[in-house]
Formats: sequence, C-alpha cells, structure tokens
Amino acid sequence: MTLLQVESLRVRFKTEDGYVEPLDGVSFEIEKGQVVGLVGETGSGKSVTAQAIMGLLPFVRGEVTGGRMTFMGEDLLSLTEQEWQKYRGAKLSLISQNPMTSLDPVYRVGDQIVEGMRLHLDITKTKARQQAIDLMGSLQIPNPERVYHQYPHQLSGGLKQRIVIAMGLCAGPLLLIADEPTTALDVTVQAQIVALFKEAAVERGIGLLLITHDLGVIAQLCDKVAVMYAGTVVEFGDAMSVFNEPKHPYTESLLHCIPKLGMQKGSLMAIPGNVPSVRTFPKGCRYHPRCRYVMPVCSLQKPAEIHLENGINVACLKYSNYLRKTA
Amino acid sequence: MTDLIQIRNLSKHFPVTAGLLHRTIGTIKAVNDVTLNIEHGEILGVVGESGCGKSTLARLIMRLIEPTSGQILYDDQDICRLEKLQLRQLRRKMQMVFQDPYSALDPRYSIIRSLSEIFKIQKIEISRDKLQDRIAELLETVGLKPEHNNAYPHQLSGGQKQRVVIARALALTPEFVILDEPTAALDVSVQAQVILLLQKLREKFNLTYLFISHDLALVDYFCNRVVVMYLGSVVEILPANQVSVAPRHPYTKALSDSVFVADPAARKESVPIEGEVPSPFNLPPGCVFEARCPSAQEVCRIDRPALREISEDEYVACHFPLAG
Repeated sequence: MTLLQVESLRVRFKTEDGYVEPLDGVSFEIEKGQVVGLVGETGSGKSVTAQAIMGLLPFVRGEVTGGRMTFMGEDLLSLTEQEWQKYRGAKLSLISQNPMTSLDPVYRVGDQIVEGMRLHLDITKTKARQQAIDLMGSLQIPNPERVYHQYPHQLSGGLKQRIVIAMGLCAGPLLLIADEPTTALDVTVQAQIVALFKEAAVERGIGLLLITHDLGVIAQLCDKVAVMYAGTVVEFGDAMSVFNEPKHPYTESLLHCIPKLGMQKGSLMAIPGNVPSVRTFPKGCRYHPRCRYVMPVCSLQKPAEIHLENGINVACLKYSNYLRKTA
Repeated sequence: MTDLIQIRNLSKHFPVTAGLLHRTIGTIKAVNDVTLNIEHGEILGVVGESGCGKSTLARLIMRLIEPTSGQILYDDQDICRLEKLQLRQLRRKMQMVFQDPYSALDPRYSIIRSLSEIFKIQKIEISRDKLQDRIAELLETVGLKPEHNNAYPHQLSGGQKQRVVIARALALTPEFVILDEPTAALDVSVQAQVILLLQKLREKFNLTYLFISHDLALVDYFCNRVVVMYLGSVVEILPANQVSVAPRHPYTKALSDSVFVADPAARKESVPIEGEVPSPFNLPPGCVFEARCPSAQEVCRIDRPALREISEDEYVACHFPLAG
C-alpha cells in the first residue's frame, strides 16, 4: 500500500533578491514497511523535501508551486494549518539533522518523549511515562529508568540519537523521516544506529524515509533509492538496480567518487566542477555542465521523467530515444 | 626507506580543573606514549574515532602545542627543543592543511593576500613581480584560475577554498604536509577531486604526508601505512592494504567491519561492536580497548599491552592479536 506519494514537486522560497527554486521535479513514493533513501550532495534539496512533506515550508518562507503530495490517499497540499496538527508528529514524524540540537538542554530526556505522547495521544501521565521507558528499552538504551531522569548533556552522542529516535516514534507514526541521522556519529556508533533504524521501522511496519549523503548507509538499509541533484530527483528505483546498474550519469559518476575498502589504487574518479548553489542552477538539465555524456540539447531542455522497464524512473535526455521507441 | 620523522614516547596530558581555585581533579591523556616513524615520501594515515588524539598528535608534530613528555625528531633534530627562530625556519619545511576550509581563510583577505602573507611571516625577500608570478603558479598547480586571485573566500565554493588552503601549504615548497581531515567538510564528488589533486601534488613535489581521517575506506585508498589510534594510544600500525583484509587488533577489525560499503549486496547482518568510546578522563590501568573488546581477558584489565612488532611492518598493542 502506498503511504506517501510525491509527484513532480516544485518549491520556491522568497528571498531578499527575488525567488529561488530549490526543488523542481521531485518524485518518489514510499510503501508501507519500506525504507526509502533520499541521497544527494549539499544543496540538492534533501532537507527542503523533508520540510515540504512535513508541511513546514510556510515557517521558512517557502511555498509549493507545483506537483502533488498525497499521504494514504489524502492530499497533503490542501491541509489547513489546523488539520496539519493531526498529521505532524503524529502520523508523520521528522528526526532532524543534529541530535545535539533536537533536545532541549533544560528538560529531562524522558519528559521530552512524554511531551510528544501527551500532545498526540489520549494518555495519562503515568501511562505515558511507562510507555516511554518501554520504548527506550526497545531502542536498546541501557537502564532506561535511570536515563529517563537524565539531562541531554549527561548522555553520549549515540544515546542522544536514540532518545531523538524515541521522540520520533513515540506517537506511533506511519511514516518516519530521518534527516542525516548518523552524520554526527562515529563509525562504530553509526553501525549500531543504522541497525536500530532497520529494526524500529521494519518491525513496526511503518515507512522510513532516510535522508543522507552517505551512499554506504543507503546501501546498507534501503529498499529503494531516490538520487537528488540540484533540486531534482534524477533517478528513483530499487536499491539493487540503482547501485548495480545506475542509469543516470550523475548516479554513475557518484558511485565512482567513493573510496571503498580494498579498492585498486588509481580507480577513484572525480566529477569535474562544483555542486551548483540554488542561485546558480544551470538552465536545461541542471547536471549538464558536469555530465560526461552531455549533448547540445541538454543545456536547452529540461529532461522529463522517463519510466524504464525495470521500475526505474530517470530524468535524463539520454533516454529520450527510449520514450520514442515505446510510444 | 629512511625516516623523516621519528616520534618517541610522545605524551600530551591536559589537566582537568574544577572549582574556583582551578584545582586539578584529573588529567586527560589525549596522546599517551606514542611511538612511530614517518618515512620519506610515504603517506601515513592516522585513523580513529572522535577523541582518539589524532588531531592532538598533528598539533604536537607542528609544535602548535607543547608535549608533556617525549621526543619528536625531524631529520634527527628534536622539534621540541628548537628556539623560536629555528622553529620558524623548520616550519617552512612542514605545513598543515586543516579540516575546515571555511575557517582556515581570513574572510577579509583576498586570495592573493592570504597567499602572500606566508612570505611576509617567513620574512622571505621576494620582489612584487616575482611574488605575483609565484602565486599565479601556485593557483594553477592546485587547479584554480588566475581570476580567483582577487576573489574573497565567500565567493568560492568549499572545494575551491580547500584548494586555496592547499596552495598556501605548498607556497614555501615544504617536504612534509599534515592533512587533518582535509575532505571532511566537502561533498563526495568534490572530495574525490581533492584526493586526486593531493595524489598528483605528492608525486610532483616529492612530498611526505601525514593524513588524518575518520574515514577508513579513504585512508585505505590513499595511504601506504595506517596508524590506528584509540583513546590516545596507538593500537596498531599496519600496511594500508591489510586494514580490511587482515587487521590484527580487535579494534581495527571492529572499525573496518563498521564501514558500510556502497553496495546493497554487501549488507551486514550484525552490529560489529557495541558501546561507545568512553571518556578519556582518568583511564583505567589496563588495555584502553578492554571495555569494548570481544576477546578481552583478565590480564587485559590489569596490564596495558605495549606496541610490538609481530611481523614485518606490522605493530600491534594487544595481548591476544587476531591471526593475520
């Protein structure tokens, strides 16, 4: 069953010198019980996508200017702020980038979990407290009764991240969005947290949208991958196919940029040029100045999304022949 | 190969003070009894998690901070005993590239000014024209264009800024460069560009690198030998190509097993190691890794294993090293 469907989403922000358009053409979907990865470099629009799904854009002077977004068949774009209160944090939940700043330093961590429960669930304080402790235990927090009464500064990075995950899960959401949940952690702790996500999301049968720049984490955890570049999802499909037979030139080059353990010397490749910023997005295909397969038409025409036969969606003019053949 | 730098029993302890009178209540042994060599022309990697002392080690070698005890010999010259003038002269030969290119450049200085400042500090007599030529040459070497000359840091991308920082490190033709997480703040596509550039520069100028990183795959790719640190101590020194194949210290193995490969077919089913790096405050007497080690025994809690050579080019500090 499709939990979340995002189609050709466009978002613009009002700035002091006019509008900028950080998202143009974001399409992907998440089924129930599925882990979908959203991967991209700085400024590719990963976090803005998360904000759009959570209905947080009005708070950052942004607005959706095109596309569709449905959650369990319900149109998210038509919700009023009052209706949003029933979704945000309850059915849809967001874990944002830095665990160190998601926690209020002056409240006990347990109470911060209970606050979320009491806001969204009809539950007594005592019961909420017990549930919070159970939840903390299920997230492998050792000695949850004691940790409940501690303050954020008393906890290690890994423990803090577990508390933030508990806050994200406390109201029993159907979709959890995790924005760079492991970036601030050491590698050995990252491995623990990634395993925890798998358990927490898959065993609850909820959808997980994992936003990260780390292709290793995506490969470890995700069923499907959406690759973003400069505000566009350039490729979306099954993780196995995207990693083994990348279709978009950006995905292909990106996979060659990452050093792997035991890799042959001299086999590392780089993508020339820089990641464009939102003010300098190129015309036509936004990847064309760095693309190794660039054609004259790429600077003129924005590639449409093409559905290839193995369930992969790709936005690249290289495949326009494919479109003509099947049409 | 001959050694460019020899580090002997190097320690740096930071006192921890508390209260109004700043009474010392303990010490943090950021670098604890470290002995290692850096050979001429090699790339020596240093890996470890946060708080393992890798950046403190770099700062000690540059003598940006003073060691508590131990020796650092650069071409048989003890760095820690040099006078101010001698030290300044030595620093022409050794340079450092810091992690964050955003804070390594003065935002009010144009690129040309940032690059010419080092000549002023080192009191190098050079004519205006020659200096301009030299800077143009440097910018070209690191892949920047002459028009970047008058740019300010905010006009450059992260990758371009890091190129400027590298150009500055190369300005006085050093022989040894410390790279402290030079790509940690960059995107993957740009990280690869910088790594390839560093590789090219090393060949061109015959440089020796000390490459500090938390990214084991990157170190494995870029370096010749790797030093693995944990809580201020060196736990293993091994050839880079052995890190993933035949690590001898249980910590190296845990670290290598924790790296996620960008391949869904290589998924890991279990968590390689539980727990987190403990606080370096008042360490127990035994092995630093004892609390998290899967093969720890009674002796590990009491007796700290010394770094010993177990085969050619392989040193490990463990009572029960893994089979190679």
